[in-house]
Amino acid sequence: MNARTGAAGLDPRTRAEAFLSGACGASRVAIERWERLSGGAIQENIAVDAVVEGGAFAGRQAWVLRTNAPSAVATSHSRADEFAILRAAHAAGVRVPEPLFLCRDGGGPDFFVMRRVPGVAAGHRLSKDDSLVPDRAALARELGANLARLHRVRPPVAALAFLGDAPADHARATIAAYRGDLDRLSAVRGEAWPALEWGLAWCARHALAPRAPCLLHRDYRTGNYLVNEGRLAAVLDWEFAGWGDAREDLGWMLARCWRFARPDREAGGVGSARDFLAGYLEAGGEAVSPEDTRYWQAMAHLRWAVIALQQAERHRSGSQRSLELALTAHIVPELEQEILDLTAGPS
Amino acid sequence: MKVEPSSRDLLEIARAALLTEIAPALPEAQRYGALMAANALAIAGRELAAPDGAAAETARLAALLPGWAPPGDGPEILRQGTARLAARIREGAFDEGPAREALLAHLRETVRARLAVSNPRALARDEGTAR
Repeated sequence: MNARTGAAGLDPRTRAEAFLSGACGASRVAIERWERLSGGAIQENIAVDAVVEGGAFAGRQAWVLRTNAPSAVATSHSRADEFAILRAAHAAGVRVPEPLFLCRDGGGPDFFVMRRVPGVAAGHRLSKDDSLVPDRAALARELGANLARLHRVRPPVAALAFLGDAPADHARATIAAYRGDLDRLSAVRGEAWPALEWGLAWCARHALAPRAPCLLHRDYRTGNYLVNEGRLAAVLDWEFAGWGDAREDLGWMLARCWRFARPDREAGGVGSARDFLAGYLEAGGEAVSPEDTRYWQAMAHLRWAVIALQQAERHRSGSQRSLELALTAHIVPELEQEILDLTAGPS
Repeated sequence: MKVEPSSRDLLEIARAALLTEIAPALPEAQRYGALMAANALAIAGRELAAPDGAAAETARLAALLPGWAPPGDGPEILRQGTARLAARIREGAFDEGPAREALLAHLRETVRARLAVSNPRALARDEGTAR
């Protein structure tokens, strides 16, 4: 590499060592393990074991470095924005991997470093295997309490200005957004989805009085948090976070489509709705009625159906050929069935 | 003459080989991919075996859409009727009364046919045989 300034031209691992020794106030940081954990299309997570000499972080450290995948396309949140969201959640007392350092040295894609948290995230294992979750009531309560702490974060927050203005009526705004998404899909596929249109029309007709907006995770479900020794260890995957109605996150966690092996356990297949909502209330969350829950469960299935159609379209269009994306299309009929079950009652 | 065994039989035996011989021999990390592939073969097999419901679905659409007279029952006509129904639902034409009930009956029927291909297990739940 030729005479470029800063860390430019270094390989990613050497660049991280140089950045981290400055960020830690260390005399030296030696990375002993550098292992890709998951290769998404957008983000890449790298497990980093480092030996830090001197400074506040002296000793052995287990971290995760999160960066853009080499083939990254435009994303919902940049790594810098995601770092700010993690910091806000952490400051609010939400269990997250503690965000430590953000690198924007220009020597490559931005990345940030967080503490590595042990645990299991896989939905099928957490819903099935009681040895991973010996006390299901306790885990469900923790999931509720943790969400209540997140929902205490209210706009405006200067560090989260990039999230834009909070919608005055989150439900109506999202219904309009989903209709726009379906129109765009229809335009390229020549298809239409009457059952989803029915669900959206029902949700528009039964819209609840909006609540003051707060910070939402927007993908708070089993599969996106780690459980360690039976307890909630950390909530992951903050890339969809934004302002909105707290009940959206509750409906997402309680939606049938995220219960994995145990559809009878309403809270993400791992616990009961009663325990989950009790934990939410105890930690200061606002009460929800059965009507609220049903409404936002319907919205959850609509949201997942729209996302599933978009994912399948990435495969169908050839932009990202993938077996997993192709199969996602075949989840949609089950979501439609659930939407009909939730909305076909007398009204 | 086509060569036998047929596509349906080939899909079935390929799926059986994946599930009983190949997947168990794979390391954990690749097994999930093999199970997904087996699922894809099962869906394709069910789609080949599914009765062609296009004519019946087009007839149901025509009953729900006064003023729409389908000039036949090919896939393109079914597509047009479905798009027209979706637009009418959005306009609120099926919000209440007998129109609502007729629409829900049609949607149930259509979703059942889609589930029979995509995920018959969810169909069983509908009939109360699973849970």
